[in-house]
Amino acid sequence: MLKRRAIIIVTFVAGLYYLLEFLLPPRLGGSPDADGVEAATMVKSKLPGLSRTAWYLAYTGIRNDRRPVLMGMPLERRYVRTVLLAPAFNRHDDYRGCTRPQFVVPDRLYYIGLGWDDRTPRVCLAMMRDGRWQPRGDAVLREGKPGEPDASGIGWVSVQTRSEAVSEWRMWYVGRQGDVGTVCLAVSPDGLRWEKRGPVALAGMDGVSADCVNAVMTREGTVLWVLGHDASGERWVRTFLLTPDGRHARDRVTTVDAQIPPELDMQDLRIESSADGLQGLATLRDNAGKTRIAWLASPVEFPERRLVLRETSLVVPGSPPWSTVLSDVRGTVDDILVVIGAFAVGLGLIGLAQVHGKRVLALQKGWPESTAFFVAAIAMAAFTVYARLNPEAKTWGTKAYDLLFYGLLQPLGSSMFSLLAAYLVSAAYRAFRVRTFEGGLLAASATLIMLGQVPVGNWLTQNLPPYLQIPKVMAWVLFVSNTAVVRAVNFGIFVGALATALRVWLSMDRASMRSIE
Amino acid sequence: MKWYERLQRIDNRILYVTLAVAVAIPAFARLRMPIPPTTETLGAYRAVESVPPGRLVMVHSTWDAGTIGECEGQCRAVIEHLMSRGKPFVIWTSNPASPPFYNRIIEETARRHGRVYGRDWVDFGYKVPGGAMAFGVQAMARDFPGYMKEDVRGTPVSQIPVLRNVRDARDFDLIVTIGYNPIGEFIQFVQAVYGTKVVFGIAAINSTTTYSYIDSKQIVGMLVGARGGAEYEVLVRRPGRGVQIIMAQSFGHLLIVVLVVLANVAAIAQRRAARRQSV
Repeated sequence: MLKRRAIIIVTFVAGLYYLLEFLLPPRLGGSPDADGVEAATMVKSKLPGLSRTAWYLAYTGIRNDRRPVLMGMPLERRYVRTVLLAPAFNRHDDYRGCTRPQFVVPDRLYYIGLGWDDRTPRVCLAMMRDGRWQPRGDAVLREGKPGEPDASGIGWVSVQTRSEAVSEWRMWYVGRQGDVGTVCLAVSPDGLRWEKRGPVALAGMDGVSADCVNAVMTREGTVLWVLGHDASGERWVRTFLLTPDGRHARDRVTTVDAQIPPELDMQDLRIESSADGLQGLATLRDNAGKTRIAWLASPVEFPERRLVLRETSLVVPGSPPWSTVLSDVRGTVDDILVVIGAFAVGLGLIGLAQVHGKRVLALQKGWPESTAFFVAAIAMAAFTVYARLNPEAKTWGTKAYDLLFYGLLQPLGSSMFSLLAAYLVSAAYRAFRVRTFEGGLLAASATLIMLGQVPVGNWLTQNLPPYLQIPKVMAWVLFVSNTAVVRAVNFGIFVGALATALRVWLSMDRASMRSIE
Repeated sequence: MKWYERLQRIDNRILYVTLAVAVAIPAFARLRMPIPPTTETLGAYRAVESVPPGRLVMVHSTWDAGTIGECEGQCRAVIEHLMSRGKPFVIWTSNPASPPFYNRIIEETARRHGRVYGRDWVDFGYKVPGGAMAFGVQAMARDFPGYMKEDVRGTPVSQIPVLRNVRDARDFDLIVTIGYNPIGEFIQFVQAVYGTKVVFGIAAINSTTTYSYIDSKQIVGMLVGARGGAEYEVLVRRPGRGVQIIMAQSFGHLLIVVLVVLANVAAIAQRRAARRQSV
């Protein structure tokens, strides 16, 4: 009775813990940008929930337990923080996060969406409709093919609208191939359908990687501001004056002196053009990993040589959330269960030794097999421990281990599985009789799969039209009909398992406890 | 006894000998058949190929003697691909019988490509009991150095050059799990939480239940039995055990199909004869 109560109490407490830990978020409350802020942009616009047009700041809000969102705040009232855009279940292209915004007046917000498939960054677009930012369903520019400079995604974007000087929309972006960033160009007639034009030829960029790119229109033409780093990890800011086609840099390359405190590291940089000159917004990270957005300005001078720090902490992370103790002790609870599981293995060995030991001592029927169990277990354990302790030695002990493992255990294990092939042939031959329509379907799909799984299926039908080739038909069967059936079966299994688990947990299913009593 | 009765009662011993002869044909005759890669194998290959330079891959291997026919080719091809491209990886297992099998492949491949332990790969050996994968995978994904602590040689994670900056599952670009069963915990607790890509290498018989994960993009590729290993070997241009095994398996499958067809033709003939007699 006591044993039963103990098991019920332990099961109830563990079940309650996991249920609450699952239902409650690990951290309650707090701001969506509690763990970090980065990649800001400035715009003069009317944001949702605010009554008048003013200068606003948009940036990426980071929360470790949530997906990144785009946030906005008016420069005059920085305590008013609004979520501009957040990932949604029905959008694949920014499902895992909305980051690195750039406002394009009057009504567009380009940003880097982290895709559903593998977080590949791509360029997404939201448009202002009825006072709210409405994201378009699909990305406007995606990663390139393997081998192209943007094969791993697009890390930063800077869009320039059509103007008197330029008859098309232009987008300079940082294409990523692994850890290397390359400045590339895309053009569009309307800012929606983009066509890639390949890397931009920038002098002095060999062996270095670009992190951010910003296009600024000047009287002399378009100037690209590039934040990058070299092989040693040292960051720099350079400006490049572009040719009218936007694909090449002229001779003028200037290294900009960004006046950042030495203890802070610049992570990204957005340059905005305004009536007061060029404004820069940079994400600075301190040694503890905490980020903030700094406000910089470039004095009106050509070429641009300086970025002067106006305010170090223009935006800092928001209010932190409350931590629930449940998630903090999750590791300890997991460890306890792993230890209990390990004890079960030891108990199994003790049980085996007891059963076979009694049989050997009493010389009961089957005692030679029981003796073989002890010999095999002790020999394998002893020689394995010896071989582990002396991995480089070539002694009789390590040779005995090789003999036991590679000469005995491996062939025996392979033989056991190989026997299945013989039984399979016999069983298929005797049992596979087509007597009904359903039986015929089963036999036909089994034949298709068997032949499709091996090269002979391809070889037999390689000259037929594609829809009759066995590998193609097999792929359809596996990916379409098989997948649908497996999902249906899994739904049924898991709903049933949940119901059974609840019955046991709430002690409604007393039959399972009777055997323990 | 009529021919159709005889055809339905072939002695098991004849069947077994015929099977042995069928699977031995490729060993004696040099046969060549095209082995085009399927979508699922191509997905696995592309996933490894697209791992950025310097980023880590995790290989989880649980195959052993029993599944050597299906999984050895897969493991060999994946290790060959990783080492030939110089993509560093860590390998560990939840089956204590597995390390000698994958270590033999790794040592042989590393010698050929001049790869160095600690810089190009790290072996953590047997870490999580198979029955406690849910807890082990969660803990490992959340705090890799804290959970793994040290490699099989006793070196702490913090002192292994290639793992110096590793904190959690986000620091791995790809997880390849090779074994008889698919390890769904990598989808549940790693792919869904940290976004790390997952590739399965599993026995063909278990593959039918995992195709839905490819459809939902929860795994990016899958190596199915000996076929997956053979296709991957062809993709990395190093045909080996996987190709040998799939050629033998071809004749085994062909034999089963022929026997099933023969038995059904005989059964139909028998039913017709019985109907004629009754009329």
